[in-house]
Amino acid sequence: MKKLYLLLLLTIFIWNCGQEKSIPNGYEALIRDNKGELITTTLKAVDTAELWKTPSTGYNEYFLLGQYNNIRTHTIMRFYPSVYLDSARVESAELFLSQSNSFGQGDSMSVTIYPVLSPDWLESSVTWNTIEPLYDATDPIINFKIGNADTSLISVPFPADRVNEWILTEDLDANVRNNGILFHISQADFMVQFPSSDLQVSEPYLRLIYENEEGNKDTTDVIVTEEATLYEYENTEEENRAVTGLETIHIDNLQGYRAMIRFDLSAVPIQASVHQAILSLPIDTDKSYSNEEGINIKVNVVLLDTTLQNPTWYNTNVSVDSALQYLPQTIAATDVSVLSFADQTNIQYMSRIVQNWLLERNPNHGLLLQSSEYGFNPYSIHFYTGKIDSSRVPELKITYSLPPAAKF
Amino acid sequence: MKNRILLVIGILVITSFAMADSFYSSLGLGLPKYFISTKSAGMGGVGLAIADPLSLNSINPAAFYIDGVTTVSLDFQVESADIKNTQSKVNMRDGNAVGFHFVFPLHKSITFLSSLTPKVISRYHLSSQQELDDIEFLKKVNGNGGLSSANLGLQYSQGRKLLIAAQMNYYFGSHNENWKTVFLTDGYVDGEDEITSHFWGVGFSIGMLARPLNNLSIGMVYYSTSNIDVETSMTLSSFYQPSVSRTKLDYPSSFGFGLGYQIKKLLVGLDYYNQQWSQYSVENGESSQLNNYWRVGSGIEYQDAKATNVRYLRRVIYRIGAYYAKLPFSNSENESVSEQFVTVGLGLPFLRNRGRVDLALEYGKRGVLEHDPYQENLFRISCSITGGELWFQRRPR
Repeated sequence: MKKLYLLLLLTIFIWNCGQEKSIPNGYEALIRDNKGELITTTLKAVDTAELWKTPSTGYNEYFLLGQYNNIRTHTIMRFYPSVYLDSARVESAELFLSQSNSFGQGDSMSVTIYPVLSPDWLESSVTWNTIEPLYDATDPIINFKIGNADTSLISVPFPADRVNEWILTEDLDANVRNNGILFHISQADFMVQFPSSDLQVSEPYLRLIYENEEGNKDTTDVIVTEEATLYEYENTEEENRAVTGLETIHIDNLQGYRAMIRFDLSAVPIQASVHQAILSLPIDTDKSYSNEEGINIKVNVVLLDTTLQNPTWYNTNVSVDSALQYLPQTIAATDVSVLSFADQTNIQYMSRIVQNWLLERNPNHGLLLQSSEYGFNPYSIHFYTGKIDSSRVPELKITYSLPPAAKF
Repeated sequence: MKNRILLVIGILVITSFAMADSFYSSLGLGLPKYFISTKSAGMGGVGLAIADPLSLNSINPAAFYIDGVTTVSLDFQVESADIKNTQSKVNMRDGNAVGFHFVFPLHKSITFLSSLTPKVISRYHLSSQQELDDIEFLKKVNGNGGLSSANLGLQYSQGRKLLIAAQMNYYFGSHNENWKTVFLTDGYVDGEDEITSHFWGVGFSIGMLARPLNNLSIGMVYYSTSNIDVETSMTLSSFYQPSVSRTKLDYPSSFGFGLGYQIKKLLVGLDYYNQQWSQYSVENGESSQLNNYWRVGSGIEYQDAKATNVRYLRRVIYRIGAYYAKLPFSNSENESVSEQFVTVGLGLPFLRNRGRVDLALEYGKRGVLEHDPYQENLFRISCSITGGELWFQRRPR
């Protein structure tokens, strides 16, 4: 009889693992005040702003030489031949630069290499302002011309005695560094892009011919160790200062412009579940400039600087939520009129940002749009703000649902 | 020993409910679960006035006598439902325990009663494929839960002429609703919200069974209204945490009476039961839009012989019955949805009549498609196992 009990129990429990079918039209017949219907709303940006910060000079995959839109770019560079040679017996040297792109009109530009007078500069922080008083303009090392070509290999004879001087002055044990060289542009009608040592391909190098220990001639290539683009702006007073009320805001790889947008989410209830959030920005294609590859743009959440007395969402010390692991990003090019973060991944990330705003996990101080390629090229993308034409304004389309009404 | 095993298994399984899906269970608190015993289920649900030592009564605590034998019973039920509306049909099945009893004598005429019984069951799976502005998505709702009762009481008997009982009923249960939004169009994040309500409350019940004549018994039962506390919490896919809401609902009172008449080897029963669901209300919530639940049933039982020295087939008990009930729910014409069932059953004694396995089959219909949103054709199998031993009895020296 015990076996009968257990058999019955087992039968019941197996039967209880029911398949999930649904009652036909049961959902429609269910009476409930709110069944979590979908609601779609499109919010227009209520505030926009832009600000610029000098792009990082070093640790970029490219460096720039030339002039574009009244911005001149010089380059500072440092080689360490003592890593390759332990004595100063270089007989001849040649500098090689691989040109990877050019921007603007003009046939050629003149470049002069000068010695830098101090070794105390860092690739990560050096600027034109710091180097301008520290190079010897009376002692040009060499002058050469760069042509306006998308790709080209430039080779320039380089004084061997300069190289020997670097070897002699460097003491690896004492960590003494040579001062480096400055590539200076006086004036140019275009700008050229070169791969840097951070790209680890086609970077600049010095080809040295020297006498080896056996007394024979030998050749070695010394890859550049440090290089940085130095931006010379006409006016730096407006740097790090957010400006609002513009007809367009833009992202600029050369000057480091960033765009800021803010939406008012008060129309979306705090308990809403966000199913989709799509950010879209109308592009002013006339003002924008890029090739077909466009600019890679990332979106981040702006944090308010509470150390300021009267912080605003576009305060000068704009900081972003660095804890955000997943940032919406997409390519902006000038062949489309609207930039939209509409693929599955960006929708998920943007939905998460909006959900956190609603839950007040992150206060809503807007979004910061920046390029991932500052210092790569002079491309820029301009977005309408809606100031002139209210139909051309950044939008955030949100699809959400509210929790269903409880039965009790 | 087997009774102890029954006891343990009963406690483990009692929290589940036996009922296939029903749309009607999504209304109010759910579908009232009227179940006296498997013996009764085979007799059209009749049992308010029928006392049987091997059939413990889930509705009328006075309607059984155990003759000093500690008795345990477990009831199981499996249900299959064909649910249809004017457009399509689906079959659903489910099964589990529907009752557990443990009674033992305290005194020659006083019996301690304890039982666990389901009172209201709610179970439904609903879904709908929808479209909004080229967005295709599925909305799904799964509801599951109900109200059970843990009962403790005492029965007093004056021989077999009069039995009266009183119980305290502790009502408890939960209801869980899971709402899902599943997008069929790419580029959307699915959502899932869960709403859980917990219930608890206390009531009482009294029952009586009298035998004015040797072959006639009359039974009556009354259950008081119970003010049930409800606590509802939500887990939302937005991660928003709403505060827990608290309210009260009135679980309505009920009463019933029945007749049992023995004619030689035949036992005939007739029952009427009514629960005042029109009094159901939720504080600060929906007011009652329910009707009273009532049912009337009739059944017959036949046993050729009870003696243990006869052929086994003569000791087998045969049952047949039918019932008609009006559910608390109305259709669009404001008429109560009804159900009607026919039933058959068997009683299989064992261990020299100290135990019995009862089986019952019920077939019926709930709702009429011409008037009601759904028609459910139901088939139920019930089974109970009852056994007794002499516990707490001093052996004569």
